[in-house]
Amino acid sequence: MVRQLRQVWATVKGLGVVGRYLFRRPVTVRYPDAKPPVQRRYKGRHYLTLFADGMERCVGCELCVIVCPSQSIFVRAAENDPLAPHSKGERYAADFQINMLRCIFCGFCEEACPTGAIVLGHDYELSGYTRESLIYTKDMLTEKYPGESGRDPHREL
Amino acid sequence: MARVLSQAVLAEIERARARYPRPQSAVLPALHAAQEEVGYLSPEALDDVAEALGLPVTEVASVATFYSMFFTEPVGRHKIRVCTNLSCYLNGCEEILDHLCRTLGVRPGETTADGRVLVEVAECLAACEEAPVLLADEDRHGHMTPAKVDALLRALDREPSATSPTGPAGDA
Amino acid sequence: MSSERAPASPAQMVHLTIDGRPVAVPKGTTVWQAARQNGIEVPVFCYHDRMPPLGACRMCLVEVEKMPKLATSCTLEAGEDMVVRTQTDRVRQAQQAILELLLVNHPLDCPICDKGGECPLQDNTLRFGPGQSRFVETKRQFRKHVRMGPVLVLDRERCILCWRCVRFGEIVAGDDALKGFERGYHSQIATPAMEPVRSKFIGNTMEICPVGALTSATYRFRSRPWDNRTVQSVCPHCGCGCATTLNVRGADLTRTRPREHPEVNDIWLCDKGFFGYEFVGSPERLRAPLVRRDGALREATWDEALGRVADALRSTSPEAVGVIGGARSTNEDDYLLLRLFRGVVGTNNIDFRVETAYPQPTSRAAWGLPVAIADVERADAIVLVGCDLTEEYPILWLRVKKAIDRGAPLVIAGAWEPEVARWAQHRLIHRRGGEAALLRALAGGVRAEDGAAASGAPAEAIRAAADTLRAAPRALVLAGEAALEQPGAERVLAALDELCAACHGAPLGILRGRGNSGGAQVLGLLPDMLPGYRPLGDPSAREAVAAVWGRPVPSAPGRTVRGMLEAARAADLEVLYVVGADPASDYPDARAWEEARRGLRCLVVHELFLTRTAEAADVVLPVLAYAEKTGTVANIEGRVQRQDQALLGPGVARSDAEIFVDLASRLGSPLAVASWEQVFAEIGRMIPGWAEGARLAPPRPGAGAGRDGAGIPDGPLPRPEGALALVAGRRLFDRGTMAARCPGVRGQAGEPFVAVHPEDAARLGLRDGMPCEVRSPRGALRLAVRVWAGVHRGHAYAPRGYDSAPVSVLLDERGPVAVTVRPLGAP
Repeated sequence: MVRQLRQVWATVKGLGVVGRYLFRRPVTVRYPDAKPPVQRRYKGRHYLTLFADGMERCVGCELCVIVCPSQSIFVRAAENDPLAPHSKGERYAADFQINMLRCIFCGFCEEACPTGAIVLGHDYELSGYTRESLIYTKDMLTEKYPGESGRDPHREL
Repeated sequence: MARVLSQAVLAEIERARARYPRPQSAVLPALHAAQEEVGYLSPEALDDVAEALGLPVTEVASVATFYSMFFTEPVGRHKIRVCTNLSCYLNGCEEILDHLCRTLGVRPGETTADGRVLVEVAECLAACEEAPVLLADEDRHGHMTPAKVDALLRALDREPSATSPTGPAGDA
Repeated sequence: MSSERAPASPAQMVHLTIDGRPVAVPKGTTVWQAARQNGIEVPVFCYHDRMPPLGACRMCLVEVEKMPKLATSCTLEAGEDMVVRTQTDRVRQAQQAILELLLVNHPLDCPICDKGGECPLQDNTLRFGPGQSRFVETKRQFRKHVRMGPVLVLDRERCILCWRCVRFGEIVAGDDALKGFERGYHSQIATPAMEPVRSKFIGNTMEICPVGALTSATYRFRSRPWDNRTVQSVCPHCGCGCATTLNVRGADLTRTRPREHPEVNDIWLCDKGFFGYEFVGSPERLRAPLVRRDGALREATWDEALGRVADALRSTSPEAVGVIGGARSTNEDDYLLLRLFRGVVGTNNIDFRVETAYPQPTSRAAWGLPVAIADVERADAIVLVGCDLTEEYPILWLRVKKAIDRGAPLVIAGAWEPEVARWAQHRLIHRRGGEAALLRALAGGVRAEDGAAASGAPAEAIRAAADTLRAAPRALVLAGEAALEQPGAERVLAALDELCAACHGAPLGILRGRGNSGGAQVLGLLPDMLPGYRPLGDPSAREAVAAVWGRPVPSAPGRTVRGMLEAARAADLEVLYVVGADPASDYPDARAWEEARRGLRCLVVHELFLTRTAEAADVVLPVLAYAEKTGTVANIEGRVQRQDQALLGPGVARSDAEIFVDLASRLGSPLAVASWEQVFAEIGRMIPGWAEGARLAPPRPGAGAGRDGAGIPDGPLPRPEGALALVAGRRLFDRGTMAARCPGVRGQAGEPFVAVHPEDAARLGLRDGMPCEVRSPRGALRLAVRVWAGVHRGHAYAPRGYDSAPVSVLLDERGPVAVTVRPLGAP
């Protein structure tokens, strides 16, 4: 008897949950028509940031390369032409590649960067049909305009 | 193959060299002789000194830049060095230096536009009893006052200076 | 160093305590060394164990009982019963204070500094530093970086004034390249007026700089220490065979560094070794075989190219086949060359000595050093005859410099004054052709006056030098190319023997040969020698070789390079096979080569680049460079060293060895070769003592020794009025096939020139830097004039090794040439 009453009670309780959620706003997002929001500190795709005057922050020091636990970054530095410099100082990154397939989005590169050049933005739509398309090159990584990444490059400095 | 030094100076360097067992010892007298002739130690003068002593020019140039009495750039024909150490400072060297600079229109370390006088700040000239002291070319002048500075500047071009090969005629 | 390592008797030992540990060290050891020998690390910046202590940086402070203040352990000699502490709070505080002060003016721009990651200042700061600085003021500022020539970049802001580079120039290299300028706060490392640094060893200062003040312009920003793969190698340039480490990033050879080898290069390297690596990655490297079709060289498959070579070899009688080169290949390549050409083809026309028109038999004058390179510094007197040491064998100079520092006199004889003349006690600058008379006068065989009359060197100088040499119990005589590359070489050799005998039996080194000449010689890439310096004429030696090869060895001696070219002119030689050599530029008579080329039916060339010789070839086979294959090489003292593969070759290039193996198969006698190790082992069956690291010293002059050179007069060179005797010398930095493609070497080489004595210049109306035409009976070159008092009067000095102006155009294989030097533009 007691056992049967308990079962009935459980059913009522379960229906109660259903009833409660019936009148709540649904959590489902109609992706890709709607984008789910991310936290402020979310670590998405990388950006190479620019100074307000359009100069690159990256000096090609390769500290991100050595700290990267999944070895997904490749940097080749070169010397700035004093008349047409890419960055402030003698050295800049002539080539900068991140393999998004290897990256684990840990953000160590951002932590290691001495100039705030590399930041992890909020984009997470990183997929492609070929492996090559997921090796992001310097053009793809560099901000189109200063501040595009939406992150504060000074955060870690 | 000397480029700028005269035979007389080269002979003087050779005499200096003969005085010591190592040519390094003769670098200072040789540089003095070269500077006296050229007015400053130009790269060519340093090359000549190095060649005359059989030393690498790097070594000779290194010595030349170490000592404050050698100049590796063109300077005034006359060199006035004003002591700014303690005794002179307490006895008003600043006023002397100021007056000198204002009269000549230069800052310490600079040469007048006509290439006549170089004014420099010096460390102790070892004549504290006569403070404030300055050194005009090779001559020491003690108990300086602005009036004495003016007199000195007037006198400077009248007698041939020990460090100026051109003498008064060249200053006209 | 050697004195520290020498076993000392107990009486010479001192006993002290370091960090509570009892320690016994030989007398004279410093506290720093004593600590290090016992595994206690005391940080240093200015001290370097190849130079005497200085005590400039104060980093090595330690606490010594009964001493009121901390002492610098690098300058403090260990004393009996000394009690030293290296880990106390006082010491730590001092270390932190020193580092804080050193960092006051250090820019801390590690992210953009090439030293970052391998920087003693970084490492010591991390381990011993304070972690924080109290200094907030502006740091000392200089122009950020100064390029001092093609290879050195100076950043004075980073400099901590340890004085290592300055002392390297003073003590080790003797070139005083960098000095301290100004003083106090303004102190800086510089050259006069910041001119390009003049040195052949400046790469070493970059290595020993404990900060990023001196960095390399060729390695600049190319890589980080953690990107580099390291591969052991051997320098391919001069014959010294310095041990190197190659740094490789991906498919990119980023830099060459010295590898410590106490017997060869110690820890040093010359600048050609440092910066002469970029030709390997040059885009001009040959990527595919080339075959001459319709008069032009066109790309072909290996099958077509090798098929053509095999056809040529098959259709020619063995005596009409010749092989030149082998000094740029590995020992294994060279050995397979021998198996192919001696064993399969059946010719003895093999000679690696491309750059000589006056070859002496190896039994008479083997190239190389009879003593070890390390023994050079132990000589009591050194005679350099016709050898421009820093230009030809720079690493040997560092050993000679050590001998000089020990008090050994240096005697120099030559037609021009080498760079090291400043260090020589006696300089005998003489006429070309007067070598034999001068040497005999030095030996006491003729009067000094006669030697002086024949050579043009002053008699008093000859007498003084002879007296100096007589007083040295263990002298060393080194003769170079300039003394022996002439028709009277046999007389010079006899005079050298006489001089050696007069110097209490001094060993005679013949400083000739580059790259793997040592290996080519010991393997017998010579017309009359078999592997291991056994003469071809010895039937038992031929038997022994035939037993290993399973094929007979032809017994008739072959032709030398000169003989081959003469035979080609007479159409007696039809196929010439050139392995890693450029006789068109390097054989000392360009016209003789051209005539020989016209007489050849087929010219095959193994090359890295399309050289002059390759351009004239019928088949050009692209081969691997030294960094692209594993194998062994031998240097001028005969030391066998291994070099490892660091990179893949360009295109379809193959190693020399692969090509020889393929050709042997095509000729119907396959060589069963699986690996270089197997070949190496097979060489070992033929040459006793063959092993990695072993030294197979060239034999001392034998056959001709004792032959009397007396009575053969030294003839003065007949020459037209106003003409100068031409002397050709080697330069360390030149613009040859490989060097021209290394910016660091090419930039230091400058333009080709002709040097004349000031008196001759005045007579001929020549001024420094003026363009002129140098004309000999064989040809003419346009060169810039250099007025130089170092060259003997009546002589013109022109450098070899410039492919744009090969001096071989002027030279004549038949004898010395006189040249006229005419200013261009003058009537």
